[in-house]
Amino acid sequence: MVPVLLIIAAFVVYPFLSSVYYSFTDWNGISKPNFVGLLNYKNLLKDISFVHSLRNILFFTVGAIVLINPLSLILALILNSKIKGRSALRTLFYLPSVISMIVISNIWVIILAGDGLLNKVVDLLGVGGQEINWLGDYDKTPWALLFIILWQGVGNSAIFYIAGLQSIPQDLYEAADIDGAVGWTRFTRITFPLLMPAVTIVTFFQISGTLKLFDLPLIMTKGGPGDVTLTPTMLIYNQAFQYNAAGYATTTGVFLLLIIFVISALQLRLTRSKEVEM
Amino acid sequence: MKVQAGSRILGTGLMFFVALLFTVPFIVLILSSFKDEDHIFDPFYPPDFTNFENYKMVFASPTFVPAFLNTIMICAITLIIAIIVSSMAGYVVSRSKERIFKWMYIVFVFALIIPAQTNMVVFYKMGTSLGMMNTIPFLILIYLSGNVAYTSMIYAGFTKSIPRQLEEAAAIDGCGKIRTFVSIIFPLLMPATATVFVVEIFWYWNDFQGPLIYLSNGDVPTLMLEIYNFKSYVGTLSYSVTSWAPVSAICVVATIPILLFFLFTQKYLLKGLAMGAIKG
Repeated sequence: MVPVLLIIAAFVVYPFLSSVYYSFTDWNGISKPNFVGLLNYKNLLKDISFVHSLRNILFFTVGAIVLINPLSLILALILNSKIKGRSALRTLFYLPSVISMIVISNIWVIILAGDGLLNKVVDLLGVGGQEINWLGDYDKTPWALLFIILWQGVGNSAIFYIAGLQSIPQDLYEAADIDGAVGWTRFTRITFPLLMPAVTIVTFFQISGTLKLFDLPLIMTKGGPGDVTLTPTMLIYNQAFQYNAAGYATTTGVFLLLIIFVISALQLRLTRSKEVEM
Repeated sequence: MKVQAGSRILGTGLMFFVALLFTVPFIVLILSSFKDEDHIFDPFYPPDFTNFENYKMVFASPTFVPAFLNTIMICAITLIIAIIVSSMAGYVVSRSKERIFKWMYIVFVFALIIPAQTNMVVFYKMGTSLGMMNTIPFLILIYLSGNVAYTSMIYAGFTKSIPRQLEEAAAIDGCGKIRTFVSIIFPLLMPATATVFVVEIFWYWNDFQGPLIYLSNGDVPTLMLEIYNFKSYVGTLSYSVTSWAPVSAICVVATIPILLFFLFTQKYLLKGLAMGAIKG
């Protein structure tokens, strides 16, 4: 117990409290910090980069929740049925979840770059008129990154849904058979309500994961074009190490944590309230 | 019946087709690592599987082998410490009847959602004032701080399935608390240890942010940092912006060990993830 408490005290609680303190200072990382009150927070809310990074991250998070949940649930239902070769299928769909983000980013740059493989294939098939610049187009780049987030995360979420499906007692379905409940009714009345704990967990991980998005846009787009894929975590990194604005960087960090905290708490309340007791 | 069997075969075939589409990016990566730079973006150019030029470039980088060894060392040490400290913590948290458990649980969840960047500046300052910046021990401490909460929660969940009578019996036989834990409890927590082992290793192996920030002077490379820096390394050799062919090769080399690990442990990994989620 004691070692874990020490690690958590020294490397979670203490740094967090210091971060909160520095967020009220004009610290540049080297000289003595001066207390400036709420100035950093005021500036942050007027900081167009920060506002845009919040807009971007909301796009990715909402997109991930709205699209990953149904897709991974469908995948889980299929992979939990008596389909042949389901363990091989589970392996294939889970594969992107165990590969590092930096490798994934490099692969997708090769595929999606302006002169990349996807455009070449489209050209050769003769269906493309002009090349689509997936990583340099204001409208399309966020969608391209969202697609990669989906591809990477859907297998992982499906594993949790499969676990949820397997924890549903079989006799409930037998009772439903007797009552003549089949197909869609069976799903909406039994399967889905009893899956709510899995929905809670999957959504929680999607929110806390996507709001911290860092490696993927850093390597693939460096936040661009413009700032349409800039994320708050990238912004903190830039503020701390490129502009030497250490105090301001901690302000952004604390504010981001506050947002994650509030959204996670709201989500847990919302989905927990829909959970039913077995 | 016949129609049903037919549609089942069709459905299975369709799922395998979708799964194949899912793995296309990895196939692209492997093919790219066997192409020469001029044909990297030519989808129908046949790769030459006897041409290991790109792989030779990977091993020619002076930092590649140290990066590989560092990564293995970081994974091993972090895992051993995480298993030792969080098995004890999880056990105590789950056994204590006091309200501290509820309080600890909140701290654990908090530690779980806090972004690495929130405390980045303070960590950086701590590392500098302790003289530990750009060292492996410091990165390991950062990893532990980010993960012991999660691993302790896994251990706490598994401890609930161990009957209390075992400890009482041990106490009667004169076992001290530490002896009871080491010789009775820890062996019984093996399933939790296996879960922690297979779940956590991907995190340490694949992490890029930690080395990017805390090993930033480049004296202590890790594999993911090596991939990142390799782009500019090969860039200076071939005078192109990014030499994707050798970069693909290094991505393949850095992925093979963890991929093999995944293929051999996937049964435990997928089961462990699910169990952790239900018990946690």
